[in-house]
Amino acid sequence: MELNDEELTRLLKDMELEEPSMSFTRNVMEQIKLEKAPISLKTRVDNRIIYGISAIFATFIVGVFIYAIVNTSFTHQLPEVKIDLSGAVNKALTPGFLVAFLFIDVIIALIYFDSILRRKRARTL
Amino acid sequence: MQRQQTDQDLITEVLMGNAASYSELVKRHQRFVFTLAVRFAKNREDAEEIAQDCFIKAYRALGTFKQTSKFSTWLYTITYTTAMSFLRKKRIETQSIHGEENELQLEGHKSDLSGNLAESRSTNKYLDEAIATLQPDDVMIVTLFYKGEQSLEEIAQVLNMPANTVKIRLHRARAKLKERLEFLLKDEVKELLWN
Repeated sequence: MELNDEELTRLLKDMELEEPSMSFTRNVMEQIKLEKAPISLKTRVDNRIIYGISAIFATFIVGVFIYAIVNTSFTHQLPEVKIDLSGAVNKALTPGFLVAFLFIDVIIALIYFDSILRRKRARTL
Repeated sequence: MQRQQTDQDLITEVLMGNAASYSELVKRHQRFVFTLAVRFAKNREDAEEIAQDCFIKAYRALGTFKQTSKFSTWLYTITYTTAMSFLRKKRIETQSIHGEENELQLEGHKSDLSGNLAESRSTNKYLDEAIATLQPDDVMIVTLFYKGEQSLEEIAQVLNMPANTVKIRLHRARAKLKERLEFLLKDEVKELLWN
């Protein structure tokens, strides 16, 4: 008689966990008593201190920005700079380049679509 | 009514110097860690040693736990590396190393099982027998996925391999388990399942 996927899944989900000896936790704790107490590597910093420092920086930046705007004279005229890129752009935008560009876009879109489907299937497994 | 402390709460307490809180973490995870150890070591004495070692290593390294993953995932990573080093140290014959020998052992076991079928009808026993034929990594994947509430990504993190590989291995392990179980249980399958 054959075992179907559902039955196999049910068997696996229902499998019992092994039970260690009654003294397991006690044995572990006894050995732990001989160990040095662990110390967190992350320094504990109060969030208010972080927010305070952030607020000081933000105020300072905004202050400098306002001061700069207030003291700027807008009467100056910017020198005219002309950059002609039309030649370079026309050279680059060949039909072959456009086809290659679109092809890469399609490949990226397919990879992304595939990853979405894989994630969905993984969840339903 | 008091809210049950999360693993994270307990870890924070331990890191603040309350070592006794660690016993709660041990109690919560000992069965699963021990099950994994039994699957690797194939005997309870060695498994107990591996499981204890895991919890002690986890305690020592608790300060480095980054909390970007679940405590269980982190603990199972330690379990996996500890069990693998234990296997290497003790040179326990696993299917991945001595596939042929195990195949022979399995054949012998199969005939034993048919004799014992009447006296031992526990589905779990057959399942354990079938799982024992898998490679250590596959045992880990199957156990973590179905009993450890770990996602494919989390298992990939534990075993340090891509999630896609984990998925493929899970499919293969399932197929192998199915084949073994069908062989071991034969006509008993349905009867056992619906009892």
